Amino acid sequence: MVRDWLKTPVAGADRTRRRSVADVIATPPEEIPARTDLRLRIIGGVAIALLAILTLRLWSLQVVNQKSYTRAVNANVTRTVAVAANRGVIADRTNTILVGNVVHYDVTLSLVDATADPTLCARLGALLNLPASKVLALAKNPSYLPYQPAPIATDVSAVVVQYLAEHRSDFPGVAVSSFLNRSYPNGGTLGSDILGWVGQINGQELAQSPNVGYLPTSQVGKAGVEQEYEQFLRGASGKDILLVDSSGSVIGTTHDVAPKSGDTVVLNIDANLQHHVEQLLHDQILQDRASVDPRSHQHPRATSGAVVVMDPRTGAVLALASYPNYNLNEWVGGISTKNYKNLLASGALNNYALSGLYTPGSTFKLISATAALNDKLLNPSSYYNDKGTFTVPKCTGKQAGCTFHDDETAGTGLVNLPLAIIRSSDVYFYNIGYLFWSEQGRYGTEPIQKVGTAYGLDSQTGIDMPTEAYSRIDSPSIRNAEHLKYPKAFPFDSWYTGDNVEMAFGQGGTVVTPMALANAYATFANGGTRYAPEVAAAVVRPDGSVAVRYAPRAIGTVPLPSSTRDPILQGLIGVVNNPTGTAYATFKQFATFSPRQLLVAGKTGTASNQKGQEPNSWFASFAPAYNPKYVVLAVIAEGGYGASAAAPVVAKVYNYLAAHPISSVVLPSAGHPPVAPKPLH
Amino acid sequence: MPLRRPPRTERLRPESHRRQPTRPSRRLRRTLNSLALASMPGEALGVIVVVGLLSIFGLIMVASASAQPSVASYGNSWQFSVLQGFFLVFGVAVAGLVAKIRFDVWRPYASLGLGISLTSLVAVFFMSPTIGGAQRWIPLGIVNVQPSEFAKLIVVIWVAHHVATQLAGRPTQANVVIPALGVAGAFFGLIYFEPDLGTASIVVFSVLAILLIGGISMRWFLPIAGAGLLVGMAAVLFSTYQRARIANLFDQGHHWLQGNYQLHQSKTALGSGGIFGNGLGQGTLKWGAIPNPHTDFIFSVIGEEFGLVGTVAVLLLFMVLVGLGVRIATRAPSTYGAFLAMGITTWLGLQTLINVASVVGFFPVTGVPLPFISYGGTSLVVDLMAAGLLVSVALSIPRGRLTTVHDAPTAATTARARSDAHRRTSPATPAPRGGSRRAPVTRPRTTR
Repeated sequence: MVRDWLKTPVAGADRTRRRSVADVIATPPEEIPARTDLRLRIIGGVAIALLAILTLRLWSLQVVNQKSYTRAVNANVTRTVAVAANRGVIADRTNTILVGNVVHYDVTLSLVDATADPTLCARLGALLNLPASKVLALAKNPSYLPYQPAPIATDVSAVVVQYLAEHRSDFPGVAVSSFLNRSYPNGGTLGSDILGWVGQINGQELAQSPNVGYLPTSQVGKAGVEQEYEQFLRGASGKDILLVDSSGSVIGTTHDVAPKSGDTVVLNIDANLQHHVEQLLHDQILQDRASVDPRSHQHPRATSGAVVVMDPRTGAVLALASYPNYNLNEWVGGISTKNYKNLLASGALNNYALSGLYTPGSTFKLISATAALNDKLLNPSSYYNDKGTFTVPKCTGKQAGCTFHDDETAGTGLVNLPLAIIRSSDVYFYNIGYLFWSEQGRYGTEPIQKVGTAYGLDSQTGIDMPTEAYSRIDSPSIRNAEHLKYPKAFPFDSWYTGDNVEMAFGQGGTVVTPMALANAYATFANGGTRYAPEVAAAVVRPDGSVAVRYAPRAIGTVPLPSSTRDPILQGLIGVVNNPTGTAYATFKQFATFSPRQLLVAGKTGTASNQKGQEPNSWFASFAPAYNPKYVVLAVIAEGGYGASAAAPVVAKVYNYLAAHPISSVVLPSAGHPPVAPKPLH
Repeated sequence: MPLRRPPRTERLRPESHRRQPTRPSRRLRRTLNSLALASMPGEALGVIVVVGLLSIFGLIMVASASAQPSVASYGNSWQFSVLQGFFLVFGVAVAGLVAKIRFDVWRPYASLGLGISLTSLVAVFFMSPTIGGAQRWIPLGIVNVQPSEFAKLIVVIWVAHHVATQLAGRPTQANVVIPALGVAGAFFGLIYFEPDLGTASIVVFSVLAILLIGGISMRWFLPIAGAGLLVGMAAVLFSTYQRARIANLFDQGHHWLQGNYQLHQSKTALGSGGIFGNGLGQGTLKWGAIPNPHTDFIFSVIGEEFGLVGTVAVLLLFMVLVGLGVRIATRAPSTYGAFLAMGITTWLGLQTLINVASVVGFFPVTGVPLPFISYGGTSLVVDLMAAGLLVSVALSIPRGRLTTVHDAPTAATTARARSDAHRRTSPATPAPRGGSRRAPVTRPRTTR
């Protein structure tokens, strides 16, 4: 063993060390020390050398780079914060604010600051009416880094804000930040379907629009005008450079890039008219639900409804109501998932004027009549005897639908085209459908659909709103396409005479949106030019200059020679003003204006639904008949007869229009910014 | 400070001394005299002065740096300072005791201590609260004790004892090295999993230093060092916590908000201090920007408040301490004392090195305190105990010319001291002299 220990070191250079080990073995341990001094000194030397290297490093940090680190310390005491831009205002045509902004205050506190002072949470909680544990839990928000301020309370009162400002030193780290929320000075329900709501931007939206001034906290339009005109409304965020002390409290602002406010979007909508129209629709639907249909003896369900008021000369949308409706204030400060789901389930979020698809019923007779007269299928002044039923000639009777009934079982008697419109003779139009189909060689297979397309009834209207449904006119080609696509749901691919007969008076597979039908009547009213409906009139910058002025946008024409237009117009005027007209009694009852004051032309529609359901009630109209300024259309789904549910609404809208004619659009300017609304009347 | 020996007459006449009313000045002088500073070897005095300076400066810096974390933990800004002051007083008392008592008194209990230390390290895994992601503490009522701090001291004592004992008998490389490595490995493993890689590696390096000066052959040492290096690298790579720190080390310019945050703030604090610093208490980054400003990162607070002057002064004090430790190890009359001194010196030096290197961004952050300065009761008390042991070893150095404080060393006194030393330290065997043989280390250097 001793040998072993002695043998291992061999190198001659280790001589001295080895000898000292030998000393150890030869002498008692406490007497002769055995150390390898060389190694000892090397270890000590290395340690001191390494510490000396650290000195060099300190020299480089503290002397050579001192300036840059001092700058970094200064960076620690300044903080760049983004300042959200004021979202643009939405105003109506009278320069009244429809959507504005309101400042509200949030209290924020970082987790580091919350734990730095254990009594802080309790004191802040007492001020905000929150338990201390809740304050701490809110500061622990995992979305924020521990030293980032997390929101503790939103929308605190001005009293609290002032108290915190005056007692800043008692609340280290507690900050108050101001936010802008959308405000609806007319109440959250006015025009909610047009205006739409805003919500916090999501990651996808943020990624899609880089470098336009969005912040992760930005509010963006999620529906309606807010969404459609987002690019004007959003503005651009700015920057503030804040001086903060070591506890993170702001002690001053050194420099800032001012945020750029969003532009004002001016709508063609008239707030008072809109309010009135919404109220009328709402009242009518509730009244409808309470009434009893004299023929079916049941309460109409009146599930939904819409009213469109347009200017036929420009396509400007003056009012657009949809029922059921919702309150935009639900979105202010964030809507809860539960509330959102409830709204979604109730259908209130649908804008029925744009996305409700309804069978047009007799209101479609405008299109059939235009097609028949333009194609000279019949002479408008020849009479036809409506005996109450129409049987398709040579029909074998094997298929259902050889015989069609008039709504009036007795028939309307001898009618020419204006009278057929006035009295809504279905048989007269069955005959048109039959004649077109039986003379395909001369008029083609889809002559009515062709005119319907020109009126804009088998597409979108092109309105400046983010969502809009496609209207559709039933036709042999659609039936064939549907059969090929969904053979089970649509077992028939053939088009029979009976189908053409049904189509000609607006039944069958034809569905249109209220907006599309209103625009079709507007096209007829103005003599044949189809404009894209426009909700917005202009965009005005915060300094009062006009960024965009939207001109009427003509997107199609319908040839309407006087040989076509006059007989139809005569019929439409008669509907309201001829004692045998379907809406005569209604207007007699409700209209407060004389025909001399405002001559209304219109058409009722009663579109059959499934068995057991009340029909959809329509009334499409324009006025004054010979120089149209307004198109007013109302529809109430499952509302009963056109004359009993929809026509009263329209009559009352004209009451308002006769008393309060709509003036031209007033744009805000530098001296005249949009004003807060007066109470609506 | 000219500390005079008490006049001989007073020592010879205890009665008259007792009758005299003791005046405070006299009592102070007596106390100082009882410390026998004047008669002490220079190394011992040096260690006392250096450690004293470091500890007092440390307390001041803890007071400066701990206000924010103290408020966060206790709601007042001075709690940590008071605790540290208490630990300093306690630690100095214990260290004084350890220094006064001969260091080999503890030797018979080395194995018992080792057992207790191992048990406590195992207990940590069951009892410790998790603080900052680590389990390092045993809660004892009012304080949490950190067994890994004691482990450093106990392993050094045991390995010094083991190697010295082996060398006194019939040593083989295997008998000396294998148990020492076994102990080092066991402690490394237990401490590594707390996790505390810094302390674990300090234990291993202290053992290796003792083995090195104990005469381990290079044939044994080089493979061991190689294997240790591999184990160390594996230990780092298998710990995600350390891996992230390593990744940060090589990516200091970027992503500082995620993981490099503390390092970035630490360097900013050091750098902004410049040459002379912003003045005591004037640091800004300790207010929440530097994490743990009173423990792991106290050196950056020193840098911000005292600048390069302060940091280099502290480093110089540690270099002097290492130098003194090496000197004590070379001069200690017994192998055990030398090993003890070397183990303690390696530990304190390496701990300083790791702490400062990680604060300046040279080394991954491991959470090792700066000896005598960082806040931490166990750490401070154990460091002071180690310093006490070092003093105790130093006191065993035979008094040569170094004891004559008043007189300048003359040729005569040096010669007398030399002969004194020889008489006292090697009475049994005459010291080998001359020729190719090297003189025993206890012989005072003539070239001084």
